[in-house]
Amino acid sequence: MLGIIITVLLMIIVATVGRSHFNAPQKFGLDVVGKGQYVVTRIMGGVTNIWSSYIALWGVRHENKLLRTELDKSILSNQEYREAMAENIRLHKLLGFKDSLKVPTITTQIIGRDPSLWFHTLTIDRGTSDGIEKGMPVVTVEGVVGQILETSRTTSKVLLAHDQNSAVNALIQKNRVQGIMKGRGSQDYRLQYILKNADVASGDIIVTSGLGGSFPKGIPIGTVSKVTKSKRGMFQNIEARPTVNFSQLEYLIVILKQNSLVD
Amino acid sequence: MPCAPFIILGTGLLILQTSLFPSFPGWFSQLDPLFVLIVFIAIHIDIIRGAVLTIYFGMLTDILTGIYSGLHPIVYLALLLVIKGLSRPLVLSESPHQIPLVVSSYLFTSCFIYIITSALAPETELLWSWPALFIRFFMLALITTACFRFYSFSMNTFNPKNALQILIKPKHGNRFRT
Repeated sequence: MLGIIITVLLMIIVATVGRSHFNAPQKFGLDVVGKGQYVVTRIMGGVTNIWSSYIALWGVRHENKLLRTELDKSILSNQEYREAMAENIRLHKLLGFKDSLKVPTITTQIIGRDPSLWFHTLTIDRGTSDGIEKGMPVVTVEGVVGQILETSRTTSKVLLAHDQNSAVNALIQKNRVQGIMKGRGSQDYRLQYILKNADVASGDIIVTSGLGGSFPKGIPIGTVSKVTKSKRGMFQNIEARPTVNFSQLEYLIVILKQNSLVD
Repeated sequence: MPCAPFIILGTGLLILQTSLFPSFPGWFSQLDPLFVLIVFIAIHIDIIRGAVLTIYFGMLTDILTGIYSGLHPIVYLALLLVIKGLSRPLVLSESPHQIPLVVSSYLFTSCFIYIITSALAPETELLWSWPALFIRFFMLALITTACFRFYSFSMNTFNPKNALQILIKPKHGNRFRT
């Protein structure tokens, strides 16, 4: 039996040697093996693909994390840069304005705001130890902010000019007509005691008059927004918009005086 | 319940209200958790300690806000007395009453401030604005429940009786059972 098998195999080997084409058994074997190879290759390919994708995903995830961190840092540094630029411009303006004032001044920062619905005050980071006293005027580059209401050693409370309890001696820049700028509690003023025969129109600039010795002369307070003349009374009803945006205040200048304004 | 934890809490809240909250966007800058604390004190603390606390908070508020010294202690004390008077016939400590109570208390306080300042300085009339008031009411209503829970939690935590109970709390189970 073994001799028969060996003989058949030798016959097949001899028959295939030197042929350029596969015979039927070879083709069948190739088909079968090929199918198996195909299946294994597909499985291996799938596994390899999944593995490489997983590894790649891991890498991408890690890279994404790194890039996000870098992006956050960049955004933060960009914001800081912008903020520093804005602060630099603001302080530059403030310094220029401070230098232009002939009276001694001190720069302060706002540390607190009045949460009340009824009053408009601020707390600043300078007090009596810095020479601040009650009644001193508080200004900024844009104009009048208010005046010192209370002081402690290291902090002070500022009454804003648009509070109902605030009043500043003022004049209309173009014709030097004098009046009193009163706060209304809202975001605007009322210029009082301007006679009906005075020439006042919307857009006129109102500045401090220097009377009373509290504020230096010529600091902007507001711009006339509405003028009405009622039939009764001697005076015009004049509304004005502040030159200062009270909601965007950060740094302020307190104008120091040699003598106390309020005793 | 000792006053010290409430004093610390209220002081912290006022500092936040005057420094941090104004930087919040829109209506959130008008959050007033200190006012809710005052109403909470008026409901849950006895009248003597409540008066001490409300006067203290009023004085502190006077320092940081407003221009008339003594205005807020009077207003808060009046509020305390009104709430104490009302809490006898009504069950104000129940949670459904919290928001209406806080809102109506704010309206009462606003009216009181308006009347007093008008009497003190008739030439400087305060600007009464219903829209601004309604925004305040809304913001108060929004935070009242959360604030009341937090203040209750604080009150229970810092209550010496509770602290003592925690310290001398017996261990579970019968250790002598064989």
